[in-house]
Amino acid sequence: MSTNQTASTGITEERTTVAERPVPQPLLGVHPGIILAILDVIGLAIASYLSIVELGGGVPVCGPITGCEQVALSEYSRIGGVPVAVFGVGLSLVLLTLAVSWWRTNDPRLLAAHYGLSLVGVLFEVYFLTLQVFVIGAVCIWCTLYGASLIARFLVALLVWIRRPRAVGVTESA
Amino acid sequence: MTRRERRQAEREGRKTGRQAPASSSKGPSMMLLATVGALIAGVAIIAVVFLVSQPPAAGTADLTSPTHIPPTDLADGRTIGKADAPVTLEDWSDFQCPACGVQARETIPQLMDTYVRDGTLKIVYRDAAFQGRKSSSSFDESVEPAAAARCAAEQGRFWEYHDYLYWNQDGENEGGFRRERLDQIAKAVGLDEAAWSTCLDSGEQQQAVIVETDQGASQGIDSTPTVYINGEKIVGAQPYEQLALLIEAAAAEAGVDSSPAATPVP
Repeated sequence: MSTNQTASTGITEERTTVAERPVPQPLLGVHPGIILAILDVIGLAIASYLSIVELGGGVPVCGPITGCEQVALSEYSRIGGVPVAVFGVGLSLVLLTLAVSWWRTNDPRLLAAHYGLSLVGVLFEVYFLTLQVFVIGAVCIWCTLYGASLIARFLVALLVWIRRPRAVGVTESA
Repeated sequence: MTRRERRQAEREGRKTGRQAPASSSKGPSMMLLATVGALIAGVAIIAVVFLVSQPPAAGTADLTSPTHIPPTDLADGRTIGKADAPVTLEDWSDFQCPACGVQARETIPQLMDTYVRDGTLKIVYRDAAFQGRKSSSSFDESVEPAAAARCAAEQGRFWEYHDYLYWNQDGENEGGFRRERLDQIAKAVGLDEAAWSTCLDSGEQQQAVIVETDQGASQGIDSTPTVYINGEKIVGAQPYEQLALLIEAAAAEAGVDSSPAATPVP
């Protein structure tokens, strides 16, 4: 960031001389981008499993915890004919790209985008969980796990943001 | 740098023309932007999804109406035809089975018009509802529609419900006969929906369907449709002409014997 004003106006010229991309504090001993990327991969795996099963015409297996079948067979499991899980795959891929990019570049805009998108996902998961409990009458454990991973991603991004070091903005007057 | 040192540096900075971190004001605004943007986007997405995902309420507009009217004046539960008809055709079928659908839509109506109406034939529907067992779903899309049709039979509307099911097949174990769909058919058929729902929710008819399916399996019915014409077993959907020949032969034989042949009714 820089603020340049001509000296001829008699006003001070300022120029930021410090890094714009502060390195975040480590989380669990590693760059938080790695933590976010791992959570994104977990979410991607869950959404991929659900997508493959549903696109194949089947229903997900929940083992002893029933409910997946009923949710998968309800009309709420698809949006415009596309399984909800497919949108989850897309979201996870975008988030994973953002997390890895942020890890490599420390550009805070990438972290903000990850934070914002995961918040969108959390809002949708709240809506979908409400549908499962009050409308469908069954809860899909896979969907809930995906939602939990989204909440974790959102919280990690929020925590990182709160703890992030400000760019040591030492500005100098010319 | 400790907080005290930082404050000291800031104080000195002000004295020397240096200023507080320029980027510190950028952080919160970016976060605020992301939060507000996410909230707006989230609400918008949910609103769109809510509107798109609305089930077709109690509407029946997307149901296909059967193109044949069964002779319901001759219906008695899951049997249709005169009680003293010399030929009995037992139809072991699964409402999800595509071949059963072809038979129900194309062959059975012709048999009804030709042989049921003139008193030669009576048709008895039997459940061989095992297609749903291929799915891990707790909602068995073979047993549930069969039970729904039995509940319709309690109101004397089995054959109408039967026809709606077969005219509205939509894949196997893919939600074609989910509960909402069965509800729509009940409405289309004109059932007392409350009584029908109570019947279906009790689970008794589902149990009866399973028992009959198992009985069929024990007598060797492992494929649908399977029909018995006066006890003669025919596996697989047959053209009308083939079944007509068999029915006429059975009628002739029954006429000689003067007694309806017994069929292996479980």
